[in-house]
Amino acid sequence: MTMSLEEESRLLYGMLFSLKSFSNRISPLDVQEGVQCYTTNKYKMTLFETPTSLKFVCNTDVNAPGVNEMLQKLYTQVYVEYVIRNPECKPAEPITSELFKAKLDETVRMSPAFSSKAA
Amino acid sequence: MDVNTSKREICVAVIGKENAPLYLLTADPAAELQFHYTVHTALDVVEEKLAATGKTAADSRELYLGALYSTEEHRVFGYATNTKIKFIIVVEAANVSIRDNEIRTMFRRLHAAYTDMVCNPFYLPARPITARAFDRTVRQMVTGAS
Amino acid sequence: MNRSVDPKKVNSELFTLTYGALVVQLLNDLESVEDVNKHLDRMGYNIGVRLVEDFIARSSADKCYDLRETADKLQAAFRMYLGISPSIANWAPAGDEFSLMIDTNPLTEFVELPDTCSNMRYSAILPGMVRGACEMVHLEVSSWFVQDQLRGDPVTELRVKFIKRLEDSVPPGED
Repeated sequence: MTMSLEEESRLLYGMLFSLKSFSNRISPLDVQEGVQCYTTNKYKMTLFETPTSLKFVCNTDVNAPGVNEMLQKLYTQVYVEYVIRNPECKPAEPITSELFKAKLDETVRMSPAFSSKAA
Repeated sequence: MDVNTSKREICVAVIGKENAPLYLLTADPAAELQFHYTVHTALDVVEEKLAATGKTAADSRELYLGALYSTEEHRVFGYATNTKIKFIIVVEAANVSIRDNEIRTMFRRLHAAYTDMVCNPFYLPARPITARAFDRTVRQMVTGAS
Repeated sequence: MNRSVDPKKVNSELFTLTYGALVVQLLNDLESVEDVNKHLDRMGYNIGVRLVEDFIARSSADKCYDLRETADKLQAAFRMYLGISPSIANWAPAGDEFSLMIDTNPLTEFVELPDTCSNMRYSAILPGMVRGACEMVHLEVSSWFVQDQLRGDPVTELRVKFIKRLEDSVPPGED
């Protein structure tokens, strides 16, 4: 089954939003952690959310290691470095920077989650 | 400390690059015009000294120019920055207790105060100086209260 | 000199002079002190919106439980970006308002306001930054100067008032 990238991200966002409000309802006092990942038979979804509500999501193989660390690295070393510090990139607009793309790719390739799949 | 030394300098002036007066303060405001003439005369000597030193060691030039000239009432000292801003201090000729070193120190303080003043973003270079902090520093020097 | 130089750090005088040149240029362009104040605030807001991401990435700061924690974070940010440690004081009884007391404001090091600009908020970029940064972490605050050394007060006091928590918004087309 295939779907467009836009459709997939809309579905993902909708689900994350529901999961988040669900977790807020059943655990209203714990505002810090929230939903971090879930696993199905087929794949694992890992979510890293910053205090500014930026969400970094990665769907991986069920056993992929170090995904959360990779997402944090994506935030601190790629997003902040190449989007926030780039005056051409406006906040809350789709990121079009090629440099960002390249660095993102590099970071993901270096992650243990990526190499363990090949092994 | 006796009365004579409590008023050590009686006039301090700052002259711009194009020899326009930027600032002049005298202990006795009534004598201001008189001092404008004195300072103006001193500028010729400053130009002479600058031209003379320019030929020899241009890069390691001493900013303090020493005594420029003396009259019966006054002794005039000069100091020129590398940006051609001149500071002039006039003291009473009768006041012999004042030493070269003290004058030098005063010029250095004046230069520091001027530098801070120029860093005020609202100050336009080569305009008369109206800054309150600069005025306060110079007034302290003129009245001898340091 | 033996001092190791961090190539990313800028000499503080250069920073101060750059900001000064910016303010004066704004004044020349806009010709109205009120407009300059507004402009500086807006620029600060835009900086704050970005800077907060950098701050979180560097300090790995977590979400705040209360405004006291927020105040500590702001204090840490001032230390990180301006090299000053304002003290936190003058809490409102309800705990929704506090002040950052700044002894030496690096922005105003050489500045003397001319008489024609006596109502200029020279450092208006700072409250703008606080507002922008807080908004990104879901806090609507207002921020303004209560005292300013430029206008002869003994300290510079930046007031921060909590208004409300902002909720995550749902993008259009979602339920």
